[in-house]
This record gives sequence, structure tokens and C-alpha cells, in this order.
Amino acid sequence: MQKHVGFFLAGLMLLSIPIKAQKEEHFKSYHKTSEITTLLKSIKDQSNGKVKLHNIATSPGSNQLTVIEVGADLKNVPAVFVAANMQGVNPLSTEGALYLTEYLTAHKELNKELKWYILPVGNPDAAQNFFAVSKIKSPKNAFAVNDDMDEQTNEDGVEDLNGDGFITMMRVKKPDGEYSISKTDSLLMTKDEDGDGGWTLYSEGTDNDGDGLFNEDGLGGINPGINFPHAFKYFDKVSGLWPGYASETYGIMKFIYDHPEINMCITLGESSLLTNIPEPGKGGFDPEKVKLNSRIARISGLSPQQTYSVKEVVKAISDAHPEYDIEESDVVGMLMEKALTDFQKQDLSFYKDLSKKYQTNLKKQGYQTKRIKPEDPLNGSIELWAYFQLGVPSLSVNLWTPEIKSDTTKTKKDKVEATKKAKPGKEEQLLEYYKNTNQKAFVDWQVYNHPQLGEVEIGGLIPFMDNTPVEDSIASILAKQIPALASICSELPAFKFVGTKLSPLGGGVYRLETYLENIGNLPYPTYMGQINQQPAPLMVTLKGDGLSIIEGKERVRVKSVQSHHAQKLVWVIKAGKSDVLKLATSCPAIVNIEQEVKIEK
Amino acid sequence: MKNILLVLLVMIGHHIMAQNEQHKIEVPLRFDFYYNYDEVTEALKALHQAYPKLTSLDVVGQSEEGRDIYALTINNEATGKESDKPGIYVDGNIHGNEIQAGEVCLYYANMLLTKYNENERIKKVVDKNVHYIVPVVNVDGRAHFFNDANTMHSSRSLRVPRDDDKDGLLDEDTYDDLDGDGSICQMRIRDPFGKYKTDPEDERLMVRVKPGEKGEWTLLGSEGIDNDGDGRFNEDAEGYLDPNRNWGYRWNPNYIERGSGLYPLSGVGLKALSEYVMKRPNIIMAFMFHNYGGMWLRGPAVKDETLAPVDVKLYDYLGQNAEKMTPGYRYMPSWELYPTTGDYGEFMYNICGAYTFVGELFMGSQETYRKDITKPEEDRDESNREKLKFNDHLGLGELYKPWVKFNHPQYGEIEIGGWVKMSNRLPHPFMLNDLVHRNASVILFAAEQTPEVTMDVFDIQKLDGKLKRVRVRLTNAKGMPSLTGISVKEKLFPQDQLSIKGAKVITGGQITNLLLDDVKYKEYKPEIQFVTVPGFDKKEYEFIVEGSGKITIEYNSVKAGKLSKTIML
Repeated sequence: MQKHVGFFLAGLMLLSIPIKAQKEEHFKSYHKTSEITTLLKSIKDQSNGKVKLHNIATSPGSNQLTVIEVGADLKNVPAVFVAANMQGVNPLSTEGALYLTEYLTAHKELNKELKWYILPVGNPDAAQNFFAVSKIKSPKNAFAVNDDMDEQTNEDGVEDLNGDGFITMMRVKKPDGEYSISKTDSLLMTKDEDGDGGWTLYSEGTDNDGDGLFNEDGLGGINPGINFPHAFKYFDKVSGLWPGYASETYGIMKFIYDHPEINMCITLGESSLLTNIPEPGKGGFDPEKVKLNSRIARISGLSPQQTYSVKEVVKAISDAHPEYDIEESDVVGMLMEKALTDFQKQDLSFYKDLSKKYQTNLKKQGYQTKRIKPEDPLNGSIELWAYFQLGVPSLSVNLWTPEIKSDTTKTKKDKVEATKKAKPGKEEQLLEYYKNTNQKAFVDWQVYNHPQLGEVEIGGLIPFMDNTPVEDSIASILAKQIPALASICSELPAFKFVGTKLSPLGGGVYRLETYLENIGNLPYPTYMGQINQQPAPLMVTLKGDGLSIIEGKERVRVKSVQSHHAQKLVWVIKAGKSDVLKLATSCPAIVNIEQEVKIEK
Repeated sequence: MKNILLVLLVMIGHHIMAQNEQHKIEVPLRFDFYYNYDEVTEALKALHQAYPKLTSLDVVGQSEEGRDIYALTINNEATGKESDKPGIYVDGNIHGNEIQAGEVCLYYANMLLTKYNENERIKKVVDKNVHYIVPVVNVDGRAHFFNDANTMHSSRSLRVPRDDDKDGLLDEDTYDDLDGDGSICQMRIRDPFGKYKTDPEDERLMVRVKPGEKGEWTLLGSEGIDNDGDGRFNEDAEGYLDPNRNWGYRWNPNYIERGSGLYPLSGVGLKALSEYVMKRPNIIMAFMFHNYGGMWLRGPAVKDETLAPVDVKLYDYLGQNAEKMTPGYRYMPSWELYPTTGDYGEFMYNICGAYTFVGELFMGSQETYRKDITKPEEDRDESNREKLKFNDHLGLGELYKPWVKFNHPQYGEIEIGGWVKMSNRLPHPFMLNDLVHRNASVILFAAEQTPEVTMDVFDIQKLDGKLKRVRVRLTNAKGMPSLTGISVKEKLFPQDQLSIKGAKVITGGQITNLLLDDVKYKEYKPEIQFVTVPGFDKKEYEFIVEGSGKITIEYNSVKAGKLSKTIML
């Protein structure tokens, strides 16, 4: 009996289905913490048990991290984890998560055989800064950190000196100042490499503790968004003392590992792996030229002095130990002394494929895709961790940055140039966008009499203008972005048995052959997942009453199945009492399937 | 046949009884037997009960199976609050099978308490320091090591199941005590093509066959059956989550560091312990005991890290002395043994800013049967024979089980025998007293070297007008600096603060050359100077103050205590 995998095609069909009316009134403004709580409660109450809420952690500022489970009535189905606003500086990502929740409850096809766990605010303490009387864009949670290692903690934070409701910048004339006023626009400041710019920049505030430093030890904190264990930055106050030190991060990791059905991770925030596909690794590991450690040399019988390709090593081990079931990724894992930091070439193909589909979907929705380039994923971020350590496809999406006329950072050379002048480049683009849309994104520099610095000027970019659209446009952006993104779920791996054949060999002995085909557009597991062996193994079981297996095992591990590829499985059996054999997959991260094979005696 | 079985059953019963024998726990504690988990708890309670004024007993947290992890704090409140004293942290048995590490901790506690009124050295470290003692970190591991059949290496993990063989099932193929003797020994099968033959000098042993020789035995590994029918034996036993790879410093995923767990401090007991030590920033010296090799290991645990020279200097001082107190132990950076990441020692040093030694306790070379112990046997077969003679003559025959036939459900007729679980990594109890005393003496020596800072106002001079010059000297009489080098370098803690209250400080700074009156003045907030007082050394400061009457000079250190002095200007 073949079970159908309904969700597989559902997403693809979605874009052609008229989108059901979203509750637009819910997305007229950005939601504060208390409003999110109310909205989630109401979604849950109206869901007939299909939506469940999980409190997975409490932030240092006593805010709950709530995961919304959409598809709570489903059992034994894979799941997608969506993390939004992990750095607490991207209010639109929270709206995106809430919109997605409502969208899924309205589009049951998307959670027919797929569960969604959605975390709308991963960093609730920092997220409140957007709603503060004096807006500040800071990813720090409320954990007390002595940033300047003096005798006090949190004693010297920023202040809204000019009372305009924003924490912007102060510039002050200094002979050795590193900044100069930009030649492009007097609103902007340019870093002067020669150090003779004449201006010094500070964030807005005073030196509260009289140590000569300005705003060096403000409220908080740790950024849970960079507190994950992949490429974690040690000895950095904002990263935390160790990965998982932030209660938010620890709670998220625990929740995800407690749910092995999670087979994809989507991060809504600053970066966009879906539009800025990672580049293949440039160094560190070359699968064509590997040197063997003593362990692999011993197992393979190869020389530790020479170099080999991974393929050659696999062959040598398989020849020396036919009992081992070994693949390339196993060898890569055994060879590694340091955790991998390059996206694996074998996985980049699905990133390219998904990116293309997503961008096509966006265009179909009429969404302008030429925009200021989103940030790169940060070391210690959830999106990198999900790919490198969970071993699942990890997609990150930046829902909005201001439009640009053309992407000036496309070529390699331009990229190098843009990196050199990263800030001014982006600010110039912002300035242009806001001028064209008649909006104010910068506070004009105004003289201010500072109690310690004397005459200063206060001004600069208004917090959140680079990543947060005006409230009026939230609903229209999300109405385009979320369906395009949700359709990606249709890409998850899904399986069927094909070409199943039972051949009698005589004397009640049979040869059973089948192919397990992955009919989804993603491999299971990813190549990275094969290396780190973290995703739950995909097992195929063969059962039958009184059946004895002569060759093969009752439980067979299928190490990897690429999308639209199949793995051949063979058993030699002696039939027992029953004339029915049962083939089945067993893996928490997929929709499991079964097939009955009749023995014609 | 029946009679033989009966004799065997009686023998087995006796063996199990001997292992689980209940001991009477009294203070002073005895160290001629191993304490099971309940007895460790009882011993800690007994110590606390006997010395209520010097101790407190805390539950750090619970393990995966709900057992309490205890910490005994030894502090004389009469000489100061614990947070104002340099803390010594001592733990053991993070690997469940490494049980004598717990005995070292118990012995250290017992020594400090029972000799407090008798011995000046002991009295001094009890009065000056606070001692945090966690004898058993892996409480589940210890309990199971005693209660279940094990090899000398098993029951090491936290009780967090892991799918070691990647078949979708958890811990489904563990060892089996086929002969029911409480130990997981070895299995062998007769095989003319085997790589081993009976040792012609001792039939209980086997030796490798030489080229061209006929074999006699094939070794089948540890006692057990193929529980999950995958053709492999004991390949998915308890865990494996190594409690000494699950910590947050340089944690690596499992494909790089086996046993590291899913994420840092995923072990619930370890998480609780991390919170316990983080709440005690005064810890400046830590000892963590393990049980194999005879070593004093310090960081770094990986080759590509280097320690601050000031820390190496202190480690060398302690380590070289420790080597002499524990003959045969080698003092070295732990990466030279093998590189590790995510271990507790590195967490303690790099995150908690405490000097940390991992003490590897057991030395097989001490199990001798020879006249001249200075030249250990290098030939493997000879060494095995000597070990067996040690077992016969000194171990009362309790460490090795002769081979006995067994009808194995999958292999057919095999033999089971070899070294039992209480052998090879654990000294026979008659050697325990010596081991625990020597190692506890090393802790005592290190405790004595924790910073002992004194403050002198050595110069007060009237300057022009209302100005006065006050000079203060901070002296550290011991080898350990008031803050570890790593703490200063990586800003783990604020440096010690020397401050003046009661007068306006016009300027102040460190005296860089007293003879020449050179002072490096601090531009901002001169009333607070940040300082680390080096070991066996001093630091001098000058303050130019305006005012008269009483002023108070305070020294406030996270790890080296607090001092205050009031003077008249």
C-alpha cells in the first residue's frame, strides 16, 4: 500500500490558487509583545486543536519565547522550524512569522502532512527596542553584562540627548578624527583611512561613569542570535560566554533537538541564504586531495604519507572491509579535525534551485527583487548552525530592504570595493531610496551643547530605516513574500517504493528487490547531514510472519537519497507462514510509507 | 554438573555481595574500600553532621535519572564569607567508571575537617580559603558502575541515550552479563585460524601467534550478544554522551569530537554544575580527577592555543611540585596526551578563569610483582604475566576471572574470562590510601599557593596646600596571581580594584619605579585603580588627594578577597 504524500505538490499548486483573504487588519502595525501574546492566543483558540503554543524559554528580561505549532493534530509527519527576529532588530520578520501562521491556518494543504513550528520572536528583549520611547537598534538581551570590565554593570548606556525619539550619532570635530563629511551627501560620514578626517563619531549619549568612554556599558546583554554553536565567537561580550549561554538560544536548541521530525529550518531576519547563495568553499578541505590520519590509514591500508581523493579512500576501505557500509561523507567526517565552515558543493545545487524558484515566485507576485543586499549570515547564527550542525536545509530570508535601481555589488570586483566602503555604500543607497519615496530616514545634523564634549552635532540614520518598512506596507509585502516562501515546503524529501520485484529462487527462497525513490526536490539527508550524521537515519524495514532473511537485514539504513534518485535494496528471504511481506520506511523526519508484497506460492 | 553449577552460583553470589557490601560510614572516613553512590552521599552527610560550623552541603542539581549531585563546601565563616576567599574547586568521577576520583575528593574533605584542630597547614587553608568539593559529577554513571555488570571502561557516559550505530534505535545493543558474575569480561572462541594461542607460561593468558604458528583463539570482544540482530555486538551501549566533552568552551559537534552531545551543556546535571560554578567567581584553583595514566594535565587542550606566560609559570611551579608528591605522574599540557574540545577543565580555565589541573590517577605500572620497581617491564606478554602475578599475590585473585566455557546463543561454545570491572583502572583497595593521600596533598599544596594579598599604606606625605600624597603597596605572599592571566587577557572578570574613599583624589596611578618616583597616572577616575597582583610580588600605587581626616583605602578582588584600611591624613 503506497501512502500519498499530499503536501509534495500542494506548495507548487498554491501560487496558482487565489490566496485566501489574510486578516489584513492584523498587519496594519508592528506587534508589541503583549499584542503577539493576544494574537497567538486567539489563533490557538480558533484552531480546533490544530494550533498549540509552547513556551520554550524565558529571556533574561522575563519575556517568554513562544513556539506556535501549526498542525498539532498531526502525528508522524516531518516539520519545518521557522525562527524569526533572532537578533531582535528586525520587526518585519516577526510580522512575517505571524503572517505565516495565519496563512498556514488558512491554507490547510500546507499542513496536511507537514507540521510547522514557528517562533515569531527569538530575541524578545531586544525586540522591544523598536517600540521604546527612544528607538535604538541593538540586538542585546537584558542579561547584565559588564562590557567595560569596570566596577559597575550597565552604568553607561546611550541617551536621547536631543529628545527626538531616536538614538542616532554624535559627531564632534577633533584633529585626529577618523571621519569626514561625505562628498556625496552632507548627511553621511565617511571613514577616512588616513585618519585625518577631522570628525569623531560617537553614539548619542554622555559618559555617565566618567571613565572617558561614551556609552560603552549600556543595558544588557547578549545577542542570542549569535549564541549558537557553529563558528561561535569566544571572548566576545555580545556573543555570550559560550554557545547556548543565552537562555533563549539554549531553549531553542533543546526544543529543536527534542523534535527530530524537524527537517528544514527557515530563519526570518537579516540574512538571506535564499537570495545570496553561499559560495563554495575556497580552502580548508579539498575532496580530491586528502591526507589520511593514522586511523583511516590503518582501516584503509593506504599510506598516511600520500594524498588521495575521497573516492579512492572509500574504495580502499570497502575493499579491505566489505562488511563496512561506507560512503564519501563518512570518510569526510572521519578526516575532519575541525568543524566544517564551508557550505558543501553537493548541497549548493539545491540552494541554487530553491533560490531560483523563490525569486521566480516573488516576481510572479509582483515583488521587486532589486534591493539593498541583506546582511551575510553571522557566525554563531541559527541559520548557519541549522545547516552545519542540524544538517537540514537551512534557508534564511530577509523580507524587506529598500529597493535600488540596480544591484551594484554583483561582480567580484565590486564586492571587494563594496566591502571596503560597506557602510557608506549602503547608506547612499538608503538615502537615494528615501529621497525618491519622500520619506525621512536621516536626522539632519544639529548642533548640541554636550555636557562633556562641548559643541557636538547630533544626527544620522534613524534606527530601523534600513530594514523596516513603513507600517502601511507590512501587509502588502508579506502578502507577496510569505506565499513565495511557504511554497518552498513542497520541496521537502518524500519517498515511494518503485520497481519492487520478488523473484523465486526455488525451495521457498526468494530474491526481493526494490528501489526507494526520493520524489521530493531535496536530498535526505543533505550532504552536510551525511557528514555530521545528525539527521535521524532513514531505515527501511522488511517484515513478514515467520519470515527468515538469508541475505540482508530486517532493518536497513539508507544512507542518502538525492532528490529524484533511488536507492536499490535487495534481500534474499525464505518465506514464512504469511504470504505477505511488508516493506516500510522508518524515520521521524519524513512521511513514512509502506508497501505490501505478495508472495505467489 | 549440577554441583559445579551450584559452586559457580555460590561463587558469583559471593562476588556480587563483596562488591555491594554495605559499609558503615563514620567520620573519620575509611579509605580501604570504594564507596558506592549512596555511601558517598552518606559520607558527605556524615562529614557535614560532624562539622556543621565548617561545612555546608548543597545539592547542585539532579542528573538525567534524578540523582542528586552534591557539593560539600568547607569554609570557616568565622574567618570570612566564602565569596571573599580564594575558592578551591575539587571534583571527581565525571566519567562514571572512574570511581576512585570520588575517593580523592572525600579524602581531601575528610583530611581538612578531621585535622583542622591538629595541623597548622590544614587550619590555615581552611581559614584562608573556601573549598568546594563535588566528589561525584556523573552520579548516574557511578551508581550504575557499582550496581550493574560493567567493563572497567563502561558506565562512563551520561545517561542520555544516543543512536551510536545509526539504526534509528537508542542504546539497544549493550553488554550482557552472560555468566551473571557482575562483570563484563571478554569472550573468546576456539579457532585454529585465530590470532592468539594460550600463553605457554600461564594458561590463563593468551599471546599473539607468530607468523607460521597455528592459532588457537579468536577474541570476540566484550561479553554480550547481538541484541538487535544487526551482526554487531554491544555497538550501541549506554550513551554515548561524554560528560567531559559537553562543556561550552571550544565545543565541537559529534563528528569532530565523539561524545560531545547535541549542544553544549545538554547534560542536565552538567548544566546545573555550570550554574553552580558560575555563581562562585571566587574559584581560582580547580582539580578534576580522572583515572588513567598518572598525569597532571593542564591546558591548552589543543595544540593551536597558547597560555599566557604568567599562567604557565604558575602551572609549572605547581605541576613540578605535584610530580614529586605523586612519583611517576607526568605534568604536561593535555593536548600532548591527545587534543580534546568541550572538556570541563578548559571551561574552568577559559570561562571561569581558574587554574585547573586534571589529575589522572591510576598507574598500571604500580601493580608490580618484581624486586626492582625502577625499570618497568616493556615486553607486553611479560607485563601481562606480571600483572597476573600481582593479581594472584597482592590482589588476592580478585582482579582476574579464569576462562570458563559458555554456550553463547549466537556463537555457540565460547569461553568467558579475563580482567574484571574493578581491575586495571582502579587500584586494589589496599593501595587506595596511598593514592588518595598523595593526590589530596597536591590539592593542599595548591591551596596554599592561592593569592594572599596584604595592603600597606607605606608613605603619606604632605604636599603643597591641601594636597597629600598617599602611597599604597599590595603584596602577594603566595605564588598565584590575584587573577589568572587568561582572566586579564580575555576580560573574564574586572581586575582587582584599589580605591580611596573619604577624600578627593586629584590624580593617582601605578608607581612604575619607586626609586625614581615614576608614576603612570590614570587619566580618568583616578580614585579607582585596576590591578592584578602577581604571585610572589607586589604592586605600588600613588594617590594625590585633597582633604584631611579619615580616609578609607579598599582593595576588592573577585578571586583574592577584600581588604580595607582606614588612615588619618
